Amino acid sequence: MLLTLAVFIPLVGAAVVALWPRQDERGFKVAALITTAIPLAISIWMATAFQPGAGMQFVERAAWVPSLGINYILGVDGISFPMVFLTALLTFLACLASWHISPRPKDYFALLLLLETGMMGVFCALDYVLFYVFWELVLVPMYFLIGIWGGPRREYAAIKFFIYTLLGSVVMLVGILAMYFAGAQALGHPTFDMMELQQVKFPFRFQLWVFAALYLGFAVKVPIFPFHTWLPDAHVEAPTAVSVLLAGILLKMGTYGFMRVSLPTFPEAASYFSYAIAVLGVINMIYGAFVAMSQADLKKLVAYSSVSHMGYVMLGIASGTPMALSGAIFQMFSHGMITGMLFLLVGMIYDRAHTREIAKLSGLYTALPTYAIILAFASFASLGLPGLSGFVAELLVLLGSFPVYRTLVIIGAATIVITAGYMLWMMQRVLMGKSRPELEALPDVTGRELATVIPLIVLIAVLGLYPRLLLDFTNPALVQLAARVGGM
Amino acid sequence: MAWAALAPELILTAASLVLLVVVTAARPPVPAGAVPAAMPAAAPAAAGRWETAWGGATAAIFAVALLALLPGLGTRVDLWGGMLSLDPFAALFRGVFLATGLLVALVSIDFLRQRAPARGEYWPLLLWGVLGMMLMASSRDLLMIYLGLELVSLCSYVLAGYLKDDARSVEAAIKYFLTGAVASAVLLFGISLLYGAAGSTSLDAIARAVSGPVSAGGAPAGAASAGTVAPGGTAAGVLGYAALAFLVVGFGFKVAAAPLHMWAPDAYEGAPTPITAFFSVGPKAAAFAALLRVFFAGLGDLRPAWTTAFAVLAVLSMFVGNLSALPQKNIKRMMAYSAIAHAGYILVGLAVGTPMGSRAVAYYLLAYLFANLGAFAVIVAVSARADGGAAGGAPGEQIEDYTGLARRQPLLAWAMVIYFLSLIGIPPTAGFFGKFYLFSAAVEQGQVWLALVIVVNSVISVGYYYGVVRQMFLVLEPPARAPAAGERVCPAVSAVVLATAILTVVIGLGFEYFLGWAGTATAVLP
Repeated sequence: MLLTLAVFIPLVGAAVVALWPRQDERGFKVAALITTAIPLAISIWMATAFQPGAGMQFVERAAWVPSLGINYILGVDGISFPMVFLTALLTFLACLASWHISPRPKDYFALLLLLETGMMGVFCALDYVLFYVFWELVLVPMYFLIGIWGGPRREYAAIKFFIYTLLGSVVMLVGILAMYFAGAQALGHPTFDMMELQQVKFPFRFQLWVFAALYLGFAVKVPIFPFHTWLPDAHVEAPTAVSVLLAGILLKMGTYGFMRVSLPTFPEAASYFSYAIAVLGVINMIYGAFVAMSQADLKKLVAYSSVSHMGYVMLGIASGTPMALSGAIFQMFSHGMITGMLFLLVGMIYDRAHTREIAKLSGLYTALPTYAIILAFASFASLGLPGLSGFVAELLVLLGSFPVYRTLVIIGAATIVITAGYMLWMMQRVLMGKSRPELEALPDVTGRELATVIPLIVLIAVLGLYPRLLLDFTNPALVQLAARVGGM
Repeated sequence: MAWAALAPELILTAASLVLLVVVTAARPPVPAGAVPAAMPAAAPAAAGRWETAWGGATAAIFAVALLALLPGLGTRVDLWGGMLSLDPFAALFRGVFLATGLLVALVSIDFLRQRAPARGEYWPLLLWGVLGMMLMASSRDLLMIYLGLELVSLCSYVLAGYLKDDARSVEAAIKYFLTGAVASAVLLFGISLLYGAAGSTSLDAIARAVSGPVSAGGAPAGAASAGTVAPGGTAAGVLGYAALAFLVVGFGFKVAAAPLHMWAPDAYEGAPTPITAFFSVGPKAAAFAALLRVFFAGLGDLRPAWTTAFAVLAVLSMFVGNLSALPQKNIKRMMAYSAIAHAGYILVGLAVGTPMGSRAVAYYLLAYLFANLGAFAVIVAVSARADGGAAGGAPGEQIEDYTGLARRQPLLAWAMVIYFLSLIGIPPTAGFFGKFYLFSAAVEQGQVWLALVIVVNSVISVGYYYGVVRQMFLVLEPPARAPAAGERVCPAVSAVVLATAILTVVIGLGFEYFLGWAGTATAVLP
């Protein structure tokens, strides 16, 4: 019942907000904030009750379309639970960060809540049809959130995001159906149950085809080079809080798909393609970092740094060792927080200075000292400073992948230097230097804005110093997963 | 007993005749001289009240007939040797058609009040059209199917030209009539060939005749010679193949499948909008019901031939419909091409030719119907508020007229989003589950390529639906066209919009239940 509540309370909240009188802005904003707080509270409670070694937990099961073997199955394990928690946390913060959104705040909050239902559902669903329904449900509110409240090129960014993702996911659907029919033959009864279909040993050639079909769906979301071109557009045009969710959660849906579906269900195909995926991961890492370096717009820089950081996740997934997989999950969680924080910070400066151009910002240490310190913290976290969570994640991925892909890891490790390069250079230009008079007049961070970043700061630091807090959740599940893929 | 099963049709017939008399007798006299029909704003309020009354009566007749259908559910009554076959298949489609009639009637009231008040023939014609559709779906005899089809068609021609002062409406009627008459003739020729082969117009007899083996008694199949003749190898079988070609073409016209679709965009664009809504679901669904009966029940043994033919029509319709819809500026024309594309999707179910395929057709029709009717209800509402009219087009029919609708009429705009999501096939709407089941039927039959064609086309279709959504939500309204004061939506239209939007989601989430309906209905097809 807990997971159902966590998934559908936002939907109820969306309906409540949609029916709330339009004039009472404070009322529906508070209602939205409370609605996002409930899944957060539920996931915190679940964290205390979660038993890392026990596989799928909080499982709920109900018949939906029994004649076709479609069921309503929700459950979380060490792979999905961190994502559920991250979704609840970031949506709550995103809601708080959107307090002064305009125009049409009511529609905005209703869509934000609808989006949360979709995201939560993706990470909890254990039935392919249910998974697909939530997967697509994410698409629609996201389209409107970018398209209505986005920047100047919002229309283009929104439809590009929509079409890319839709194309990827309909091909994924064909793959799922192929798996369903093959699975029905092998099992003797039709089912879309993820866990049950994992038990089927599909023929190798079949695995290759279906893996490729699912790859398209997941790779667009991650995004893996060369499917990444929607990302900078969408991230840059989206309003702040939506960028946070886009980078923090939606990208993770892709890598989560690999870990939940592709690896355990098609282990042979996964190891067949693993080298290619590792290469693409390293391309993401290095290419993303170089492109980020050349950006003049602060938000674009953060967007491309996401491409680079998601490369680590793909490298870790391709390697398939328990340590590399731990690193991948850790990176998904940590990048969600760090990039989320960076986007929040970019939004704050844009709200004040009405520009995101690095060249037009300088000397923020003098002008906005509190803001500058937080930005420095987030940037250091992003470049992988030891003691913060990003470092742990990247170290685990690189160490875990080294025995498998020595050369690739050595090449990929160059990313650390490049990342440090563009982040430090950005800080030098934005934070140091002569303070500009027009910036000095700006107000520093408000209490509400502080409230959106402090939870992230605390978590980033705590996980950096005491990574076991997260690793203990994920490890047992990942050891199992690595054993399935063949423990390479 | 038998007559009770026929109650909905009897109610419709009796009530429509009474209504016809009332309408002609009680019609307010047209004042000599000035004919106000061309000037919507000048329509006298009193005349409008007549339309409300007649429209309300029509809607009530449909509702009563729908209720009269309920007691007969689950039974199976054959009348006059299969001339009428009131089985679960018929029940599903009769229910669907009555619901269509009800919704179309509700949408029409406000439209007629403005555009053609106090004429009244509209309502009996609508009732007869639905009656014809019901007969088409509930017969196992080609003669009755043809009579039903002609009843629908004749009413449709007249209704298309109902706005007799509007040149586009008249043009639509003439085009529809000419092509429709040719299609009917082609169809009738196919039927006559089958009659020649089987000596009967009954689908059961035809099935026996074309199935080949001479020993199949009763049917006077001509060539009774070699014992081991493959199905379709007899003279009757040869005639069957010839008839097949004519039937595919004839029905292809009626469902507006490419390349037999040319009449549709003009007819859809010119016809009064509520009638366009009716065309896009009613006669089309009836033709599909007849297709299922004729091909599955009558010509089941020629399956390899007709599945190939339908596959060709399906693929062509999907591509032609979706690609032609992309550049359209008039929303009714766009929806016409969208309807062609949807005929293509549905034809995939026939191209698959399995029980799963026929179930998919029935469920998809259910899903498509409410989404499409709802979309047209929104189109009616929007064109009603755009008085005067943009230059060079009918008022409120250009996609540009939808600018800022999300702000002015959030209910209409969001409902439109739900319909379009369903028409594209995005969950959790009914359209998704319809396409999902069509996919499954195709993949199960090993025709993955057909599934991939649907996939590609679904993505193409985003392009034009998106164009409307973009206008409604993203494009800022020019200040010059600020919302008109006192803008309102007719409550009947709002009710239809709300009901169809909810149904579009409910039919999706209740997939198991509604697929069960489709399964029960199509189970009667061999």
